[in-house]
Amino acid sequence: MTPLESAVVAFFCSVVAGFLGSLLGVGGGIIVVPSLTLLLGVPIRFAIGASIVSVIATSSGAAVAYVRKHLSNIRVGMLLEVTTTAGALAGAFLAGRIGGGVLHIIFACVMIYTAVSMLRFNHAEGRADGVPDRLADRLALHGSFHDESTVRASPATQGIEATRQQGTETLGSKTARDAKILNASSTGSEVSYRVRRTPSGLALSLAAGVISGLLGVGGGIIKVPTMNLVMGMPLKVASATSNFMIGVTGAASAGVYFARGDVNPFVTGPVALGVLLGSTIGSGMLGRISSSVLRMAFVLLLLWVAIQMFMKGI
Amino acid sequence: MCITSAGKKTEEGRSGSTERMERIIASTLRAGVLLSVAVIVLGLCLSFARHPEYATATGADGNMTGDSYRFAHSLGETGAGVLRLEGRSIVTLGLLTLIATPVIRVALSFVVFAAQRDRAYTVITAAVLFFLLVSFLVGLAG
Repeated sequence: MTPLESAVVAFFCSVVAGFLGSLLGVGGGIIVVPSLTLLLGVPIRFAIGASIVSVIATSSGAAVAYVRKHLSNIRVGMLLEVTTTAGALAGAFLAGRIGGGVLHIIFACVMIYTAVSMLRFNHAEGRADGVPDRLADRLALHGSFHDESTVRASPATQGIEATRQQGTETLGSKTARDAKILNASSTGSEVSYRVRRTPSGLALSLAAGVISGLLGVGGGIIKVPTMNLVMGMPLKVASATSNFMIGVTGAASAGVYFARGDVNPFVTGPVALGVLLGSTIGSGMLGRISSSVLRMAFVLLLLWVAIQMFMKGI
Repeated sequence: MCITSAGKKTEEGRSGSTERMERIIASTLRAGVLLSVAVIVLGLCLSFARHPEYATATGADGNMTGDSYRFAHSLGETGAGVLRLEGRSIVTLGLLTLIATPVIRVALSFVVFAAQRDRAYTVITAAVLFFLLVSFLVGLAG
């Protein structure tokens, strides 16, 4: 292969990685590493260096759209970032001190249990249930987002919406423009949700940080189920919020990989461009995709990672 | 759009400041992404323009993606390479911009929360910045 062909192949594989990663709330490492090592024969350390940068690219590329559309809950994201970064630090510290084999197997079992829970958990999607959470109230974590995949609003509600928007026209051009954009995509409905069990969420984010530091797994695969199953956030919001967070944890380790000389510009440059393109495309679709399709895709991802972890542990 | 409008109105003050924060974050991330894309593309174009053989030399990709490939991996080397208008160093500069983007996002949120006198989130973002800094230092030392 010529260097140009190699860069083009890396670019296109990365578009796929960024696309899937941005939808599922995980970094694209699961696609970037094998395509670089198996297809292009890149040494594993350069592949891992590129995959760390691709996590940041997935996060930043998609977060622009997710934050604008209120799909990322930035308050929850920033809160959980505290324990995730602390956990990642602890995990990196423990990395040389704890045997990996058993840990991989335990983690694989947890992944399978999570996959089963995610399959069984679809009744509570987007429903504001009554578990009170004073921490979530105090930190104003509850939110709402516009779900474009749900059924079109009835003509009656659209009428009310139109009246409301005419009212906002007078409130300065910016608001009016936003209202018009909302009107243009008037499929779907506004879904509000209440965040619950914030302390458990914080504890699990700590675990996610430790595990990503110890096993080198991206934290997204733990953060998404934590926010969805434990904290009661809709899957799309959980995915977009995880996506928002992984850039920060990625940045912490990327500096280290760079200093070690693992970030090869000729490998990582095309990967970063591809992932940025893929995640930008993906972030435009998350609002429209149906939650049950997303849930199935995430379950498959969990099982795939579980298999990989079993193989590493044995 | 109407289901939660009542709820939003009761929290008008808070949601207004959150929306300002969301706008700042989205603009920061977009600026970081666009800047890094521009720099990476520039660096790659320079490399390929200087070395036309990259497009024709079959089997030469291993020279660039393999262990023997030499490139800058400290800020000083990268800066020196950029000043020499070296393609690969310019790509690295773009990658560093991409890596710095989330960190700048956290730092900016800290400043904005502090200005909004949101004590809880000022502490939260300060803690994230602290852990980022520590993990950076620990990583470089280890």
